[in-house]
Amino acid sequence: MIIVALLLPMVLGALLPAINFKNRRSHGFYIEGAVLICAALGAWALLKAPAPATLSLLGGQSLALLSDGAARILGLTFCVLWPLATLFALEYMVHDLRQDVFFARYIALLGPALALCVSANLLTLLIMYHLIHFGSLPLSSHSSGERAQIAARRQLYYQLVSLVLTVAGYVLLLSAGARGRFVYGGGLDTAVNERLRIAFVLLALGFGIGAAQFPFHSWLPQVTTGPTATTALIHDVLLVSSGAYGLARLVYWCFGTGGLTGTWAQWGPLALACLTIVYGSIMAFRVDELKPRLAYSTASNMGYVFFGLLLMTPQGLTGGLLHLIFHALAKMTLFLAAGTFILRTGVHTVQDMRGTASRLPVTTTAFTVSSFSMIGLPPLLGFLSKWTLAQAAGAQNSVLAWVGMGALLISAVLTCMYLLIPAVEAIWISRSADALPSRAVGGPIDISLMLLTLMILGLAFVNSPLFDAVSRVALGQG
Amino acid sequence: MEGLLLIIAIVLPIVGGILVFLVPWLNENRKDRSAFVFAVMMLECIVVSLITLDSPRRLVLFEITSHLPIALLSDSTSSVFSLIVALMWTVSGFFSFRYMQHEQNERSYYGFYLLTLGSLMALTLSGTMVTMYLFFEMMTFISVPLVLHTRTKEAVAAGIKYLIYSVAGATMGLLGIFVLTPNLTTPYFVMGGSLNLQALTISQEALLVVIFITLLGFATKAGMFPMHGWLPTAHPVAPAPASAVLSGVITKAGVFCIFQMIFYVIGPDFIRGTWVQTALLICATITVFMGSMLAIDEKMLKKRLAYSSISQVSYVLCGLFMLDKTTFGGALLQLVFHALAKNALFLCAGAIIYKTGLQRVDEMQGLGRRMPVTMGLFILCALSLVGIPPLGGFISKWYIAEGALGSSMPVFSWLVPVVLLISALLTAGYLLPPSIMAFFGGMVDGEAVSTLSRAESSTVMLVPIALLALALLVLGSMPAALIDAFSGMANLLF
Repeated sequence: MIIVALLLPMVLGALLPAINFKNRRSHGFYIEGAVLICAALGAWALLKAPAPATLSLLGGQSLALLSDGAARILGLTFCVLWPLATLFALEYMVHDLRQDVFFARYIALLGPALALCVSANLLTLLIMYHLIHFGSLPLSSHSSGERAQIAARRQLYYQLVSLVLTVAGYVLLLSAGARGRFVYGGGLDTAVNERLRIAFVLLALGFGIGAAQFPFHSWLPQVTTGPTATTALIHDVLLVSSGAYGLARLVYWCFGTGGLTGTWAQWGPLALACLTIVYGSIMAFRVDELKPRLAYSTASNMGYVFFGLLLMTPQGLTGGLLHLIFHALAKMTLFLAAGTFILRTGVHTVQDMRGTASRLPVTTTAFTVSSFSMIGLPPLLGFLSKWTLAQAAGAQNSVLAWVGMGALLISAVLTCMYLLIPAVEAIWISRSADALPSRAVGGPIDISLMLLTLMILGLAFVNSPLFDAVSRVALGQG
Repeated sequence: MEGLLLIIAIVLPIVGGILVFLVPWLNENRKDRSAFVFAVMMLECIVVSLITLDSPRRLVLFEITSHLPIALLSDSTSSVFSLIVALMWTVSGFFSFRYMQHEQNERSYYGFYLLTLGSLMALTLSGTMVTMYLFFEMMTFISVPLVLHTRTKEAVAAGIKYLIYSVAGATMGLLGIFVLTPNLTTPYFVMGGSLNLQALTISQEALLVVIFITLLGFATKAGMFPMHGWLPTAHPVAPAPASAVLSGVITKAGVFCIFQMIFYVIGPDFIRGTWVQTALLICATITVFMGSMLAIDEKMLKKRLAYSSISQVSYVLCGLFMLDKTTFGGALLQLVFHALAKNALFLCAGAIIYKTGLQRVDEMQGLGRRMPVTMGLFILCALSLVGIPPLGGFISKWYIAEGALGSSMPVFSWLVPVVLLISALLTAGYLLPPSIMAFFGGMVDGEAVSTLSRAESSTVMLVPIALLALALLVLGSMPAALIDAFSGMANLLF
């Protein structure tokens, strides 16, 4: 069953260019319907926790799938976000000539995305991780402009480095006698030696590239030149989350925290995460173009996740996972809102956003609400994840943990600056009416933005159960 | 339900504000809207009075996680603050009904005015640190539109400055909340604090550093040096009645947070005698002096009043940071009397702008002849701010000075009274000359002052100012009830 759920998106995606639709309407219904079916089936397969599926390969290696708590957390997030982003893309991509190809790839990526979540060993995870990243390249280069091509090429180079690092790490891991099977707690605690630590750092760096961690972050702001629908769902949610999720599996399910805590293998990546948090926020504040600004913000927020994961405590894992899913939701909303601004007003920079709010009430509301969530205004979800991360850092009580807490707080102020100032200026600066687009409400874009906004607000009321569920997963009980 | 009143006190103005935004017929007629806003504020005053008369209550609203409750608390402290908030809001709101007629976007003004009241009320009734943080941030976000009101470039820049300073301050406060939470025996506010001294997760020195940053962060809203930069920019650009509450009331929100942190979370004994107390006192005394010095040099009336707020609110902080029963009483008295006087002064400035358009102190010559009642009330409130008996301001400063002199703190036992005295002279220096010029100036634009015609403010504008001045006079000459109440609180908290 789980295999069907993973393959269906690719099949339905591949069929799309082959079908000849009578009109735009049925075309749209097919795409949205296909995504909804895939997402529903995926969610069902995740929740039903089917028996593990294993495929043996040469040399004792195998591909294995298993749905556990952590898989459900990220997988269900994807299953919710995919249909919403597709809904947005339906209106956003309307005038694109190659939209069939676009949607085919868009839908198909849900397959490896879910497979990544349910990977039961490191090899499967790595394959899915690279499949996702390389599979996203055609989407990155979808627009024919020169900037998009350069950006996609840069993404490719970074991804090749990531491939080299992860393969080297994996080979080292095998040569040290470890198997890479995912069991909560890892079980390598006492066996961890310097060679395994090197393997860990290589793998962590490889995942760090995927999550745009400093100093390997620069591909992410560059690829924002593509269509916003891609940036919002694929680049800034799927790709970076896959990196962070990989690290989570690596630390807590493959290595275990015992052999790494307190060694350079922890401090090194942790320091980079702290740097990313602050650096990303500062760059987001300095960049004037809207989409790269949000992309830098993504890098910074993935820094939060990495920071939490690398604290190597269950509490840190809870905070990291919470921030991972919350960020996916809020950042996608922000990007979709930014994309709407760009689509409807033709502005690309924060400066030009001034005074446009009166014509785009839904978009501005979505932007503002998700900004508040990013800043961490309780009881919105952003507060819970930052709170958990800070508590985990405080409990760690080491120098870098305190530095990280400081970075978290500084970044919170910067977040307010780079997100709320545009919102304030968009809403409160008056602008002559003729320079603005006409009001247009009610299309798929507005529906998806409204749904996302409502979801952010609604999740504020389920803080407690969500926290309990993620905590259970982080303690290996879920 | 037991705590229903607390919820009503918060929800009532918020619903009122939302209705102003959403219901079209409320905005068709200015009179209808004014009546509605006034009714909401009066009801709010009644609800808050009922809460004050009621016994202390605690109410858990919901839980973020099982260790992070969002809860409300009403006791004597919250009553003091929420009463000030509700009353000052009503008075300034009443003044707005006429004043705002010459501004645009009245609807959004009243909407945000009521929403800010709701969030401020929630802040004064908050019962845990996270609740306080939540409503502190909310109050910032909701009050920014009041600063932005005129939508000019200057206003937007001021609003953004206000936003950034406030969020930075709140974030510094959040650091304290992060670090203190695992070190407390209970997440709820408890009189005398709930620091778990036996099982601190970090060293006492580190905790003191964190506490210092926290208190400094919350002091941003109170305009304390070195976090005061936003205040003189943001307060004057708002419409006058909004400046009045920003300066007279919202600065007290910062004081409230500091108050809760010291007396309900950390406990005064943990800070007493440490470098944190010294450092905070240094900041506060510097602010008292600096605010007055800056005010003297400022020519715009509203901006001068804003600088004055920086100085006067730090009197309150001085009194609190001494951690002494007498100065504590003085601080709370100063809180009340400054709110009254500063509200009234900003409303006077608003009345002057409304009638004559004059904004600079050097243009005020002859104003006393044109608007005798307004200027008379202006002088009365200015005298209270300086600290002339029998007005309110005298008593508060007396208690702060007396408490300081009687305390055992080295240096500050004499430094605080000296700075207070100098600042009082400076206050006289920046408020009285323009008022006197208003009555005795010789020539305006080549015309003798005596020939100017009268252009007194309307009654709707004078009544709120007169009420505030009257309160200063009455409470100043018969302060026994207030002093009793505040020394009662002091006995509970120390």
